[in-house]
Amino acid sequence: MKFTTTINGVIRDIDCEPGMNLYELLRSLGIKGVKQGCDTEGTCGACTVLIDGEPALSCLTPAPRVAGHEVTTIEALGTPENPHLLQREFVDAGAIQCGFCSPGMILASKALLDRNNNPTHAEIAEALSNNLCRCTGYVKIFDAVKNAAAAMRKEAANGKN
Amino acid sequence: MIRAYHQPKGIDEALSLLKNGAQAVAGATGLYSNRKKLDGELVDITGLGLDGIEVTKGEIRLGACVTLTKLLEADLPGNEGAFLKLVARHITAHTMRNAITLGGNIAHTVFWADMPVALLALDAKLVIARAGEAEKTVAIADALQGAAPWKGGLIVKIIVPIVQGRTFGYERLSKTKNDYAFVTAAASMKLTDGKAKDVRVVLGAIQPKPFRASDIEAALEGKAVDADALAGAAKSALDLPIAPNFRASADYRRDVTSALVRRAVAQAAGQE
Repeated sequence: MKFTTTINGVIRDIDCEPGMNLYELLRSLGIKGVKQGCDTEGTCGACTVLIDGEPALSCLTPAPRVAGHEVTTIEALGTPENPHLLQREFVDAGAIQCGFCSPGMILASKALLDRNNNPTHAEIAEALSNNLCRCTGYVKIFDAVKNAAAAMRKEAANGKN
Repeated sequence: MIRAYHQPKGIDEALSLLKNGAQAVAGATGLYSNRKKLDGELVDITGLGLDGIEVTKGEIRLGACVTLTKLLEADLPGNEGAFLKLVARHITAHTMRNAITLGGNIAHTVFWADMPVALLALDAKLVIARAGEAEKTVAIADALQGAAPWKGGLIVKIIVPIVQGRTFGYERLSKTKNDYAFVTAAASMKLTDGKAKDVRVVLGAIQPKPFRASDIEAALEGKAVDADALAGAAKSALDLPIAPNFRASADYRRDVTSALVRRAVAQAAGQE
């Protein structure tokens, strides 16, 4: 079936099988930032994307559902030369080991900070509750998110002065 | 194999497709976790405006496509609102809750489904639409018996009555906060002059569908919830039917069920 969607700011005309999920669609387009870490059960969060700014599990999202909507993957955030604030804070905090959970963690964190730049520990835990990490033990991930939030608040305060 | 994916803009078009055998899909978290089981056409029902929440003096009216996230962020009144949110908070995790809908959690019948347990304790009603017919309102207890009344049609609304003075208890045993429950027990009652009225005791995850423990309810009805009453409820709960389950033995779950029933009833009676 055919439909049009916007992926990372680029309008795309899609022609795919009706039963495809968004994860399969994205990977078929060469967008590899979405990972599979569980048996399509919704437990790992490694396939997390943003749809209209809100986190979604791409492996459990019917591909046609994004028709007319905006999909954001990790590829839209920064570049190696010019990383996004969250990517910088994740690296600086030591919050990335194997990196498999990182795209999903960062996107889920972005969605949180975009609506709340002063989250409590509990609010961060809730926002990241659907993203599993097998390497880090989460502490440095939380540090990275708190540091990014602080940087965002500082930037917002400077903007007002 | 999924042969077509329809995205109707109007409910009549959706109902017509459903009448002709298409499968409704909302959050897709259940259906897309095993697409091999799907054969035929899908109807996406998320574009039909069924995601509204309306609060009237005596009811909370929830659209079937209200997601758990939307429920948790809504301003819901009374002990009923707090109870709905308590149950929703225990269902899996953040990103899944962005997709899981109330209607889906009812219609996608898996033995660990949590919202139907809450809805039984709430005496909720379902509004079901079907092509060429007037909408029907069905009590949740009736809807969960026998054949699903929404087959070939669509759950469009869930109605939760707001009852002054009704209190709730909820207990759920799972390995982690996000995991499927081994056993769930919910209780509700209205304490009048120290006596429990309109008692509901609901069990989830021990049978293919959640059910009310009518014997336990009858024993508690009209009486004070004292130590004897609670001991009696715990003892009766040992006789509740427990379906075989690959996740834990019946013996283990029987002991757990007894403890959770006691705690849920005590909570509803304001004792825990």
